[in-house]
Amino acid sequence: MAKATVVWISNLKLVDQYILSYARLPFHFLETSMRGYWNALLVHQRGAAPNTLMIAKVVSGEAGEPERFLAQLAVAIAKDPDCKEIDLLLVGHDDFPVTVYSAIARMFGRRLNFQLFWNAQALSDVARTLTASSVLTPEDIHKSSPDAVALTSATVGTLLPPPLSKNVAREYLKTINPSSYFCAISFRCDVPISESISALTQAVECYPNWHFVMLNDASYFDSQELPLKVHLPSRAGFDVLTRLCIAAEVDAFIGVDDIYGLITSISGKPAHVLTGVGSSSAVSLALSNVDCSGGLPHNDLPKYVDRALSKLQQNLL
Amino acid sequence: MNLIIAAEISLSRKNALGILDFRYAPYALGDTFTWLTNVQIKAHLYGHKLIDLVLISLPEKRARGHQPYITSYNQVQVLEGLLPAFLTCPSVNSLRIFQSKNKVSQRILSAILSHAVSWPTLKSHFQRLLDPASHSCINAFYAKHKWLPRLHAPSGFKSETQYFRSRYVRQRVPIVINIRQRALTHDPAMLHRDSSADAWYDFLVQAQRRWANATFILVGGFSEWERRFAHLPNVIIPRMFGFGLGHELTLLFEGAPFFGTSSGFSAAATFSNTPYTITKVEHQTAANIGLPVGTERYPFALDHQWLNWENETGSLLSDLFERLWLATDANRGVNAVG
Repeated sequence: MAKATVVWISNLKLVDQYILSYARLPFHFLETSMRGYWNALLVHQRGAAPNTLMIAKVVSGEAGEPERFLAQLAVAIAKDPDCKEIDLLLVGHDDFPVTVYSAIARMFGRRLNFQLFWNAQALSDVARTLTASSVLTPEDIHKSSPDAVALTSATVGTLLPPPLSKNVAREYLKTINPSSYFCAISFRCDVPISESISALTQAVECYPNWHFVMLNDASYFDSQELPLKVHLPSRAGFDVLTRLCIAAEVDAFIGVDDIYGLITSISGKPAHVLTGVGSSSAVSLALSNVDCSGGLPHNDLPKYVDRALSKLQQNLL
Repeated sequence: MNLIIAAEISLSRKNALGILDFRYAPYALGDTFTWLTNVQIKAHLYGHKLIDLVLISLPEKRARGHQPYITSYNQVQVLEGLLPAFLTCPSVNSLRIFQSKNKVSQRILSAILSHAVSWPTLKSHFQRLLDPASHSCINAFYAKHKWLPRLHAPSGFKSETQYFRSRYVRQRVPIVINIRQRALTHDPAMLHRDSSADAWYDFLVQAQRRWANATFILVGGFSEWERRFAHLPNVIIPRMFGFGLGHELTLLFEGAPFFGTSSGFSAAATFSNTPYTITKVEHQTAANIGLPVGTERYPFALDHQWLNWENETGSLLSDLFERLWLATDANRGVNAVG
């Protein structure tokens, strides 16, 4: 029986290789040629491919860069909500994973043409084939505006997370407690661990309706040190994309303005965001659902978290 | 001629082209490394120093026949999960992953017009013919040139992997292990290739005494291990600490010896300079890799790279690991003296 199956499959392979493949050859050749020429014609006539948002970026590994990229993308999508595709052109970096940028771009639900280069000249060369209007030079690509990108209420609702990751994120929270409230937490990595744990312990004790999820890597924590009701999705095997979806799914956010805080913010959920630290220079938040505070004095984190949770609790009631 | 096409043609002439079209090629880790090696060989044969990689992943198209579970619903996650593997090819000028049919058609049209060197050939691409696991070109290249272009650590993950080493591995010797356990996942395919979890568990328990200085880094999908492995003191699972494929591949390509089932990670080791022993090599693959069943090494393998075709048992794994340990121990000695 098994032998007969193997013979049958190998016969099918031969038929495919020597007959069907030759039937496919002219069809796919013609289809590719016509579509390719049509696309080039459109770019030539209109200056760029229709319904496409093109973003070029040099990854430098600096703090706040992914946040700035996320904000730029949200603002651009808000301006052009009908865009169907994102052409993302990146110059990679040896010390920073480009997978973070890819995951951020996927959060907006458009077709993504992800294009990675190892130098600005290669990116510039390819950009000439994507746009006929303003061609990016390597100098343009390396130039970055010092101004912060402003996230306004127009960006709320621009997210369209991939369905599987979105479902996994929701189910993760439901398996912890389907009727609980969830608050995402991101602390600065240079806050003393004792201070972070003290803030979390107090939050868990004073706000029993809430669970807390730490979405950044939080690799500096030993998970056994954390109080119950504080969860680390990164330790459950969730990648950055799924953790971004968790940030969109939680009920609130407290912490620094990292990519997770920004995602909760533009999801329209209440967020208490600490600016003036880490990535603050990259993004400014002008959203009605976001309460921004400056940097905290030493040892003030437990009080800040308590104040923020108190406000969140009042809004729920 | 259209200026856009002219610019594309000018680009296409410079570099060799690798095309991986998921309408007929599988989303598979092991086949990715084989494909990357074939692309490098093609580029070398035609004297191109740089390579442009083009991946075609159209959401509206289902993956090919034997991956019916990959649909528009989960395609993004599958592709994102594989992405670090495509960063392991040196001499790459660009990696472009297209979800737009028209845009990729423009790129391929320019390759036609410029008679670009590509793997697979443009004719094979239009015929939808690619044997992704075949070693025939690789073996032929090695037979003629006596060397093989190797893959390297994916860019972007070095610092975080260094952090992983310093925090979790410390002074112990890291050994990368992968135990194929697709039966534990949502997409159980080719289950006859799965390893015996019991055999590996027995081996790892014995290893605590026999190789007390070794730490086994269990790599692979988060669902591909039973919980009892996480309790072993000599086993570290990077995905339990927020690390992923990019970090695991960096460890492997930076030289941490590989010991594991014939599967995706073993293909990474196959095309690396890393010492390895690949276990439970599937007998059916003998034809693909152009070797008789039982052959102890790939033709292009280095001195410390072995294959084993038997079903795993605890004692077989101990014997195989002893050989790998001694070989890499000798290398460490040489390096230390050097």
